[in-house]
Amino acid sequence: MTAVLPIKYDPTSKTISLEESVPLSSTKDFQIEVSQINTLYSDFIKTNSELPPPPTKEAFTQNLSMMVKKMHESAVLLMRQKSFEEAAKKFDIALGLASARSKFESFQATLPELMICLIGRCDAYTNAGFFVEALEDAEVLILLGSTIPDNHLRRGICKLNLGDFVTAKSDFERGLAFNSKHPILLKLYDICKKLIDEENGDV
Amino acid sequence: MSSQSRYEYDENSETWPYFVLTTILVPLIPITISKISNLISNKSKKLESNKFKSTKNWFNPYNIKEIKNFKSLSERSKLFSKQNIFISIGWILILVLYLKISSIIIIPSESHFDPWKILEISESATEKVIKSAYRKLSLKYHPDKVDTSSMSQKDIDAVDSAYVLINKAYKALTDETVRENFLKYGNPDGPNEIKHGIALPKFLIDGPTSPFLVLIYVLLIAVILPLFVRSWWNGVKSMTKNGIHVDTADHFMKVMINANPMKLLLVDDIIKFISNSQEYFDIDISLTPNKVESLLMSYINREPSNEETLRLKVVAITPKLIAAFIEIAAGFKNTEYCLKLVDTHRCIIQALNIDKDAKHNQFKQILQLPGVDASKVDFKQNMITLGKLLKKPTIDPSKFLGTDEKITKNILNYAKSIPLIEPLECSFKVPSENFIPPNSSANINLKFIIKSPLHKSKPEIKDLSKIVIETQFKEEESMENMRDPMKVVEKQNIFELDNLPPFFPDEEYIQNNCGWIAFLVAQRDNKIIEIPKQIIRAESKNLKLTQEEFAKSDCEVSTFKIQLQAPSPPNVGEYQFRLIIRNLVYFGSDVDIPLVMKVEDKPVEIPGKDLYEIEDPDEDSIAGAMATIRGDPVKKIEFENEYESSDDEGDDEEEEELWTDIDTDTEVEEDAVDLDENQK
Repeated sequence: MTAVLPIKYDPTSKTISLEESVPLSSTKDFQIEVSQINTLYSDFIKTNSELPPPPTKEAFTQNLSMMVKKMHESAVLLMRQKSFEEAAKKFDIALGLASARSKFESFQATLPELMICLIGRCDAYTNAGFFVEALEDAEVLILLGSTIPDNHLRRGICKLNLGDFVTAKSDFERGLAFNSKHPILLKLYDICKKLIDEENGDV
Repeated sequence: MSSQSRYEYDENSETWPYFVLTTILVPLIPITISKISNLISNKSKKLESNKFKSTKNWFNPYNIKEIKNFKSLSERSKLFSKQNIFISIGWILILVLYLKISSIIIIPSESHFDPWKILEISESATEKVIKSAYRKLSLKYHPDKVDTSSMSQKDIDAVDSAYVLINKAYKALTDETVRENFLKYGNPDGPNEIKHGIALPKFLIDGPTSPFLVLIYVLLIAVILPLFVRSWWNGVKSMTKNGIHVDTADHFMKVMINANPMKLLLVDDIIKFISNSQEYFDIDISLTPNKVESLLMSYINREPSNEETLRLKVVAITPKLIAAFIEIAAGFKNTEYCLKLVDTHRCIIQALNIDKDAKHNQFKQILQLPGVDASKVDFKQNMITLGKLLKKPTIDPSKFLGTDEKITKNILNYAKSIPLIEPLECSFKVPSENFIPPNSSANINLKFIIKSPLHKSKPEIKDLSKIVIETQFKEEESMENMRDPMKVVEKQNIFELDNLPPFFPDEEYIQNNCGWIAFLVAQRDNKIIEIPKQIIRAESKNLKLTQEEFAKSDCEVSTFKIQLQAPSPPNVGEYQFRLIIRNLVYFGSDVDIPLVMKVEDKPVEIPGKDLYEIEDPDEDSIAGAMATIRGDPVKKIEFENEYESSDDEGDDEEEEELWTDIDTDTEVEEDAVDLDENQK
């Protein structure tokens, strides 16, 4: 049995789209897939070859890396000047640049770039007091590198500041599982335990 | 003697009642016994929990009328369950059959033979008495002695047969072979003709009812049996082993396959997933997923509904579906989904939407208490835990909760009875080892105490009573415990709640699922690595202790274990885990315990090696060879000595002898000897 997908191809914009007769509410996930195909296809057209280039180190666009690096550096500078909100914006731009890379380039090289930008943005948000935004970044960071204690520290700090002490404690414990002597983690872990006791009316 | 068998119907209606009686009794007795033992255990449970407090004296939910209806309905349906009906009808039938059987007079068949009775003597009679009795009777009944002229043919026959019987009886008591026959078969003529009877009353077979019987047979074999097998097989096919519909399980699987790790999961999402279950459709055909979702959402938002009865039916089965979903999500190792499912489970039981807004989430521990109205609570206060409310309230609780004095007192008492879990010690254990060897079958051993939110932190282990330390905290290292480490857990009482949450209609479900659920998660990737297990057994006495008694410690310690399915890692090292424990009923009774599994490879020490002073085996023996392979010491054979002596001059012959001992090939030996002689 073959089912025909309710999509159509537009030759001028070279994209596919859902047919208008389909109700939007029922095809949320499908729309994501359609947009993913469109992104991949437009990247493919840009390569101007019959096959997309292999994801080697040589095919990695260095220019973009330079731009990301510069943006990152200026953001770090802003962090040093303690203008965290500005820094967060710069990190955001850097992150946008890093993720704008053609999808056929080496993922292995893209990932560290993304992570560095994300780490910067997460820390900038934390310092600026935007804990909900910082938490989102920290969650992504944990997904990308779950064995890095600092990522758990980031998430724990956000949770702590959002008042979820029990989850924060569990985050610090998870971070300590990978480095039991991490000084900041240990310190925050103690603070967190005290806060939990206080919250429970034990102290 | 003919061995030809023939079928006989139950002409006198004396066998079929026995047959029916047996057929009924075989299933009836076990069912009745199990029912009675259930009743007894339930009764003792009820007596024990006489202290069981209901909130109904001081707080009633808005839908109390429907909840009461629901409960009485389920009670009634329990009373009229198939089992109960079977038992009552069964026993009535038995009574009827008993009356029937007792009214049957069993006519002893002709074959029944009692030589003593025939001869009118006692069984202990001597041969002399037998003989004289026989003579007397044979004189009386001898066909020649009896005057048959005035008798009818029937009477003559009777006299004849009586004489034959007397002869038989006499022979049975005196003649060897006849006596043997009598003792063996109860009949002097040897084995009886074998009769095969059909235990059906005659009126069923003969006469006008016989076509009905045939019809019943046909129906039973050709229609009812296949139908029964089919429905049973469909039942097997349509239910998973978790007791949910296959379509539901399939739907849950699909949800898990499409789980997006980047999406923040809310209670609303879980309810949306659950709403697609086939089970709701089976309750009422009008229950579409959208309708179920709206019913469940309105229930957890505590909004009255005009379909309250239907809504309660929907609510009542939801936790079971969530529990099954948890198992499926755990199969996909998805911690996030499992924890949110547990949250949703609690939301359904407490009729509380924790994801309604930030306040509901933050104050969920307070809002779950019966009688607390979210619109009256003073959210400005920093009192978000039960502990804070009971131990160190920032303001007067009645002001904080916006309730009057009396109700506040009840609410606080209710809060005190909510069980919290406090771990004392948690580690991986391998039975009869004090470390974790690679590839071993380990279990998690958690020692914990149940406490009230009123109690502060936890008592020092040294403060626990001696008996508790020796019997509950430490485990007896007996053979029995090593063989089955779970035995210690099974011995404990089943944990029961003192107070039941008032909103959820199915009390029995809460009482059976009021414990905690434990997930073992790897710290590395935050994935569930074991099948989640419920903590259902625990000592609940601690809940009644005052703070002084608690700190001084009259506490009882409980044990929980998980037998790990997978063996410990094959490589030496430290492995990081987290044991996540969540209460299934109440918010605020959760614990996360970090756990390290230290896999070590210690050489096995053999105790009492020199106990019997056995010498090391000789190097050239089989035992020696085995010992060398194992790396154990062996006794070296001192070859040197023999060679040393051969160093002496002119000892060629001795050397030759040494070799000829080993060489078994005689021909070569002879050749060698020849050669030797030639050389000489």
